Amino acid sequence: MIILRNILCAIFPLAVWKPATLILGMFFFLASAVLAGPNRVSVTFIPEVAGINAVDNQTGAFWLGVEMKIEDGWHIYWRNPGDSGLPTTIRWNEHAFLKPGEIHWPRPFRFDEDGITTYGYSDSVVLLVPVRVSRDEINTLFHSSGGNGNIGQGGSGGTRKNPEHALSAQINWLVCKDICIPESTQLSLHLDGKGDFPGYSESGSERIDRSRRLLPESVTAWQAHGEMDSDRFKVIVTPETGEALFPDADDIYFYPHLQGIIEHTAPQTVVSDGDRLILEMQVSRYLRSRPDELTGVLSAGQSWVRDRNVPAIEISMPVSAPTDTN
Amino acid sequence: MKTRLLSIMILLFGFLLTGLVQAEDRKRAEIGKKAPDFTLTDASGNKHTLSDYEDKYVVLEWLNHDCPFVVKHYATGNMQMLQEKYRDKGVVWFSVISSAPGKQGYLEPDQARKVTRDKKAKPSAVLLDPDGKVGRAYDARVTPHMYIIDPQGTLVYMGAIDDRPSTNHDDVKDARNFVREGLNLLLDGRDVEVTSHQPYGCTVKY
Repeated sequence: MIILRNILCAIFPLAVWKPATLILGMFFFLASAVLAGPNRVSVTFIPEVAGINAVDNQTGAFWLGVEMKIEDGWHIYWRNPGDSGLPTTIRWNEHAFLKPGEIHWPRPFRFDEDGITTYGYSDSVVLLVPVRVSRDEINTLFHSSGGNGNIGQGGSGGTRKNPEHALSAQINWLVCKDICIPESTQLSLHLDGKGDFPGYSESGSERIDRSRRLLPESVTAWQAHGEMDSDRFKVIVTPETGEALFPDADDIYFYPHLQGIIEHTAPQTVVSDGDRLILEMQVSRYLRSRPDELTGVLSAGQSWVRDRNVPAIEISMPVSAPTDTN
Repeated sequence: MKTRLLSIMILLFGFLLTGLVQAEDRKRAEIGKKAPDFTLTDASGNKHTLSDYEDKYVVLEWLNHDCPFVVKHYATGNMQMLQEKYRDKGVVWFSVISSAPGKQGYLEPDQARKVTRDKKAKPSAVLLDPDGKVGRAYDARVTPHMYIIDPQGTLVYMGAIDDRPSTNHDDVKDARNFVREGLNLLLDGRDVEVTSHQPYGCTVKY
């Protein structure tokens, strides 16, 4: 109901707030809601911190979680969706001092169905977006003009929320079961007059923490390089430091960041060769020439490093023609 | 003794399976090679054999009208426009439905005829491939997945219809359409420049 009122407030200024407009507004709102139908994925913004004043001064940024709860039996997609599907996208509206970055994707899961392999998430996922707080912008906006340091006190409204102070975005995703449906929603991260996020909760912050632990990490403990001939692609990973831990080879899987590199459906084999691990996979028939470099996620059932739980590592590797030593 | 017999049988079965898979692989569609031949019945009950169309360019379009990626190309009139334009230039255009009976997108012949009429689609024929044999031979993964076969029966393009993997209708007009581009080059007596491109769409429901 609050959302509805906010939308109506935004559409119709208070001065023309008459019953007729209200009815008209209600009609349009309900009509659009009915036309869109209920989404199979519900999405909410969850901020990591209680407000902009709680943002770490060193990094000057906080994590904004995009929590996606997916209806049973359906799934959405990772940055590389695999053989079909589409990754979730976010189109941000410009904001004076909140500057969102790229989506950070928790480790994906593999879906095998009808001889097709896709990468994504079922049940629920919290995509993470780093949001930089531009202090300079806040200062020029609110302090230099003789304001009292509070943000959000827009114009004459006193405590009324100024919509400009919400960070808003349109989120688009494709959700699939046996059929695929493109869905979208508009979301806002609201700020109150003190720069706090009314949407903040401790449990939300914990869910962000949990999701951060699922982000693939770049580690110095392992190094990777790729070798490719016309139909086989090898990822060779070598431990670089004593931190490196060998996960169970059976559960290791390479998720390339890009489509069209490997055949997603073909099995990946993993063998230990001395102290190296060699993953072998089939080259995609849509790959036209050998890339110089390849990035992706190496996922395992256990941690790749000692004393910490890092089940997915991000690798960036040069790719060469096969050498005889393999 | 029994377990030994069983393991030998499993082993033999494994070999058989490997052999089958390899044989299957050899039949698969590959750029620059002969396109796998097939005979399929269309929605009106007529049989079409690919090799009967040698001397013509043939386009294969994997189809599922409820797929939002396909909807993008039909709601904007893009697919119908391509079908009509190139059929006028003598190209044979087959839309192929490989959804299995009971799976999403499967159509009985009369349903296929009706949806073709409703969408004002203009293919030469809508081919029904309910057992998915032809779809698998071409390794059609998604709808729309596109193929161009030249008059010698050689596969000269496979993959995406264009370079915009999205369901956004606005993307159609600025997209680089590989089928249009390929057919224009071929009809102009030249070679296809982009012979394959990572396909996008909904999975084929085999």
